[in-house]
Amino acid sequence: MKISIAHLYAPYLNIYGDIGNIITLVNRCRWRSIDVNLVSVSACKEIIGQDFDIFFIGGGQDKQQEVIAQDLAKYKIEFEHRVNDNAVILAICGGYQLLGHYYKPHAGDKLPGISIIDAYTEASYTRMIGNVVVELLDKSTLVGFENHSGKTYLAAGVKPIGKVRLGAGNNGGDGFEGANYKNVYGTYLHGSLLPKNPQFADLLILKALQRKYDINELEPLVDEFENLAHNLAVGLKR
Amino acid sequence: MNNLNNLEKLALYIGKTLIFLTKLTKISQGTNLPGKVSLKLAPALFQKLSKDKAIIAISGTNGKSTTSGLIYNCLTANGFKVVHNRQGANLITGLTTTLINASNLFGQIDCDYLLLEIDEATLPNVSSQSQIDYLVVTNLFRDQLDRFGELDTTKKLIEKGIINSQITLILNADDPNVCQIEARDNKKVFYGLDSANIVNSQTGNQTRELAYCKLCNCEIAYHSVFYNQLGDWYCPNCNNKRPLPDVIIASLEAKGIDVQAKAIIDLKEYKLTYSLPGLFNAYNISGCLALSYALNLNIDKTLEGLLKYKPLFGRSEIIHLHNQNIIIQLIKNPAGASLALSSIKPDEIIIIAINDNLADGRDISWLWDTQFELLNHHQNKIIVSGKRLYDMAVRLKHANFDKTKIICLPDLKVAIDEGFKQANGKGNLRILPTYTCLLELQNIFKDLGYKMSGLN
Ligand SMILES: [Zn+2]
Repeated sequence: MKISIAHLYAPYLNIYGDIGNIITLVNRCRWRSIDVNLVSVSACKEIIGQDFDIFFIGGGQDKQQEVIAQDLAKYKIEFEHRVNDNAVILAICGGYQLLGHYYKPHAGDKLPGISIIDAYTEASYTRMIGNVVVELLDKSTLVGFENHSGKTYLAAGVKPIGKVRLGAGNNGGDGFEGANYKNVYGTYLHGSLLPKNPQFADLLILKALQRKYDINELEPLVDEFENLAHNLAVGLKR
Repeated sequence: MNNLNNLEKLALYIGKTLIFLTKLTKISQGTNLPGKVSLKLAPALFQKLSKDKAIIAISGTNGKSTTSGLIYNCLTANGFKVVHNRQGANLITGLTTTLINASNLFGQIDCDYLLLEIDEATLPNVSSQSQIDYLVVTNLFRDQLDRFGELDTTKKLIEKGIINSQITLILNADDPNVCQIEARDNKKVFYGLDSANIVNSQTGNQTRELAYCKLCNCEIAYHSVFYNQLGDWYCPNCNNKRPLPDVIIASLEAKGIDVQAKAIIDLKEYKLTYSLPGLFNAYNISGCLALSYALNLNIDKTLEGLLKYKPLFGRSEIIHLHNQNIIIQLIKNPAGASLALSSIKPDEIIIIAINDNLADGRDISWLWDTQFELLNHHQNKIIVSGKRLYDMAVRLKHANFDKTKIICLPDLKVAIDEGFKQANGKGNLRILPTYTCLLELQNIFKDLGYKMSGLN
């Protein structure tokens, strides 16, 4: 089997260890002998004409975020097609914010989003920093570390990834974290997210492979360290 | 005269008493608590005690402690009396404790220079209270971003600290972010390394801090990269480029535990010897020499001061204990940690200890930005310890290090014992602790009978 991963704006959005998500996706495929084609993308024109199963977009600093938002906005229609074609998108923090309609900073104009997720984000004066534990519908957990001042509000009917058991999540108010539409996942969790949430990493890989292959599950891996790290993080203080 | 009012005198006495008591009881908060209490009582105490003193400040992400320690040696070798916060307590509370300790009961401090290592976030506060005369900025890397939000914020904090044009700036020319710091018409002295003679250390495709030209906003490019974003940089779009440094370290040669180097200061060449290994310490030496140049110190005495410098505990000194060579190196952010990893030999026994206390940075995501891939062919076992040992184990596994060779031991003392056992007197035992693990390690080593040369 083969999987194709695009790391969007890799040279620009590279803080808080988000590269750990790419490392995890690549390794968990390779450990199962799935061929990986990883492409580092610095501007979205580079994705045209190439099929990708997974798009990853991380968080960045404000300055970089502005440049990227302008570039990304030009490919709104392109990403609509990709999403309808069941491409998997994982977006963290700043990347997540750009999947909504817009990001409104304290000063200056709104940064345009690509409206894949029916949500918007506004800058706030509280910085939400600390460990996060998210509870999913099936009672399983996601663990990570959040660090953002933007507050994201989901429109009615948009599915969050889960409820926060610890931490602020989307906006520190409604108790939800992240958003999910089709195979698109946006979240504030750094940490990195995927290394110590191996089940979530595998969910993304499975959905990506199902675009081309008729499979229902992945070959299991031994996740002893991952599970220890996950369980330890579930018990952390804020 | 500082003219302390009665409340300030009282705060000073209380501070001195607390320093005495904390020394007596060996409380670990000893470097901050007295200053904290005294400032609560008399908020202007730092300002009063530092009034009219010549102040040398050292700020930046990495190398503050080592650079200021080197400067201390050079100043004292030149016969100056120096008050220095050498315990590394670099917030306003720690700085105030240092001043209280150095002051007599009238609030007078008998010294030629106050040498203050200052946290980036504390710099504007210090600067607004007292005139800083010299400010050394070492570099700007990602460090505990959970404190400041982001790198640009750190840069802005330093710019806010440059409150007037009377501060002479000693800047790392090779770091485009430091070099392009917004200043008024401040006098600037630049330092760096020489591109022709310094070979890039093997840091692979590590994510680099992006830098932008302040004139035209274009992304900075490099003729040669020395380390991460440090290098001979230029703007591909306009004439902006790295200025020719006033002080350059031009060649490095390891001779046992010593390093022999060539320095070019104001176009004149000098030979120097010191016992701090590695590229990064060459920057610390270069920064120290740049300040010495700005102060017009006697060069022979300055070089003597460098030669005599003994590294702080946990800053890559080589320790001999129980017939074992041990190298302890503090790791706290991707840039420094990757550099530490690049000097490890394949037959060493490694202990990596990761905590996530406030002083370590609560967010351990930086482990993923660090090039642990440098260890993927490491032959011997790696012991992981500290509160976040399993995150470290996952990181090593993803760096394609053989996971059956990872030993997880949460208790640091147990991990150290196992390290001694595995190393068995041969080769190096290499310990890489985060800050609070290093503090723990200090006590463990004391108990093992090691005499500390310098404490953190
Ligand atoms: Zn330019």
